[in-house]
Amino acid sequence: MPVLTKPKLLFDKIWDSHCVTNLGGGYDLIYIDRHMLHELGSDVAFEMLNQRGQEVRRSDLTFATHDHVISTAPGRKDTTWPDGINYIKKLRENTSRHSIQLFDLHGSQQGIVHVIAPELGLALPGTTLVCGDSHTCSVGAVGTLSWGIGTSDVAHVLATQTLVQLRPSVMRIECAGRLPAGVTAKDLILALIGKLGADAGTGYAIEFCGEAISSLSTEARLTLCNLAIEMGSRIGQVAPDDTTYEGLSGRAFAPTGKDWEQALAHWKSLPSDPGAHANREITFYVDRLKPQITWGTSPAHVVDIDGVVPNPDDVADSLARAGMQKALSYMDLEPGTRLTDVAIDAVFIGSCTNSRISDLRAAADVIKGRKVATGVRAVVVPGSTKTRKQAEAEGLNKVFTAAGFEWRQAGCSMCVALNDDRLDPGQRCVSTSNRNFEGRQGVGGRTHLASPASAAATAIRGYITDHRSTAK
Amino acid sequence: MNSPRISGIAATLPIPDIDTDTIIPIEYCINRDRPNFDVALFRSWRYLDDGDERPEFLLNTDPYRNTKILVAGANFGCGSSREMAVWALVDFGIKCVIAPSFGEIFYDNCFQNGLLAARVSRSAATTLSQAIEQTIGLTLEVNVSEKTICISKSEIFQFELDNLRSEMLLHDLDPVAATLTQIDAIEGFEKRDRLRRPWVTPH
Repeated sequence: MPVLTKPKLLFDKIWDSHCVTNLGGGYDLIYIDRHMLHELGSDVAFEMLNQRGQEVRRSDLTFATHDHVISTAPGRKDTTWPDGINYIKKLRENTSRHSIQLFDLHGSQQGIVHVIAPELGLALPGTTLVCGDSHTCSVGAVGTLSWGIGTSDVAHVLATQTLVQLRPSVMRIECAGRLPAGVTAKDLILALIGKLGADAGTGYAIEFCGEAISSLSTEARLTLCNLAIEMGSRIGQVAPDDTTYEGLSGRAFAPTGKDWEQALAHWKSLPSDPGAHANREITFYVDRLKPQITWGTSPAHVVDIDGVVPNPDDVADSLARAGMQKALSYMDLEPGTRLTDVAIDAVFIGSCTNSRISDLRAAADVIKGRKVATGVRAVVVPGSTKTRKQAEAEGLNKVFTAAGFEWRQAGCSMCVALNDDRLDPGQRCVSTSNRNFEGRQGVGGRTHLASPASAAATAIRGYITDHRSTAK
Repeated sequence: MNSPRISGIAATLPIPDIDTDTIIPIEYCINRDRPNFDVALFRSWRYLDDGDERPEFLLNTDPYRNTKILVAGANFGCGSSREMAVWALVDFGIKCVIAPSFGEIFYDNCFQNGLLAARVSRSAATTLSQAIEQTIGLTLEVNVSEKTICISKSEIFQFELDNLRSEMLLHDLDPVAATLTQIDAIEGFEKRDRLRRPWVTPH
């Protein structure tokens, strides 16, 4: 007789195969296959570890890079951004002391953790990956079970290669239909957050599926999963498929030969089984989706780019209304204003959300042969050194610089504003990053989130712009 | 064992989605040591650009400079994983944050640092906020063991807290030491896994 097993979801398959032991009360001890470190999130964690006199349990599963507190200036040195000097140095010392591979600031494999993890084949389907950064959910795009953790948990993983985790519920979001031309994964995820809310995913791991997801490239799926945390979920996932495998094959740290064959066989068993049900199932139709733009200080404060700033008085819930009023005041916007009538001071194309080669190509397509509007500071920051070199080989840097964009070196840059890539108080920016929180891009700075094509079109016109209206 | 009771002045910030960038801006997270994160708490809401206090901000007024318990809107602590957000609250003197929901990474970080994040119903959060707004210097009594928040003997609200997290608060559990008692299970997992998934270890 065939053995009947209960149908399982992608999430359950990976979680269950990494459960070292059940700790009771819904908690499991979960084994971690990959631990990514950066100079900001690991600093105190290493101090905690060193204070205990403990060694890193699996330095061979631990990888580090410089991305947060670094300069992105062309020709940068360790000392270019003074606040980062100590962080750059200490990560070198700690990784050297504990025999951890470091993708150094000056190396060819450096970049934003969530950009290099898939780029180097470190994020693999069916594995667990954590990092002291909330956007670690990004790499769920290749079928990894990945999530962001705090400093204490970074120290916990360094010491034990495990985490004590409460098993989340699963939410499956089926994206039905096909995205219209010019509408991207960024628009899709922003629209979902707007519809469901900034805490809709709290307590859930999200699996994105459906026709609209299957047809996305790996890079677009990385953008999609990047913003799972902005919906409240630490974990966003897409089941691996042929697109995933083709993208992984030949990557620096991807398995090869017999290992690849064995891995591939395992990966093909990962997608959710027919008949498996999530705790919450949602269907979202994407056929008529438009490019999205945020107007407020939460990623859920989002509208169609041809829409208007909403009126808090139209909202019944008094707390939500208070939040909207505070956001409008901070953003210096009036209800009813058309977003495309809003002038901007800066445009940022970059971050772990939208700094991969396809993002840069999309922006360059819009910009080619045009000039950045007078008075607008426009900045492009590739997500990794490899991406930068690829873009330069394709001549994209020349497209950007000819238009008046700054072409910078890889790092988190104006998404985290931990260096001189930041807004001045009161400045308004259209950004391809993931957070429009108060002060996120610099004290008093105002952020509107959008796709690379929208950001590029906005840089050219100097006002928030629907890139489809300016298509050549 | 720590006392299960947290008692003190309660303040309210009845706004949803207060993110960790607002709790502590990133530039205050770097090149700073404990317990000096208190000056950074709600930095942009508390201080003007020149460093002077904003007199209208609640935590800049008496008796709220001594706030021990903070009631906030849903999704408090959403956003970045920065544990400094919890350090800023703790260094300021906050012992308990009450909200209908919390950012998940922030929530985990709270219990790593002895800060109680108490999840209550939306209606309880609203009632608590209103009570705080009506009585200047209102003191709340929170009990970790009983999972209760008392305004008075007749007004008691329940909060959600699982056993592991309540143990962490009451006994200052060291999670790393606790996990290392499972070292045999971890080694056993690694041994089995090497055979099952040899491709996981990078070469």
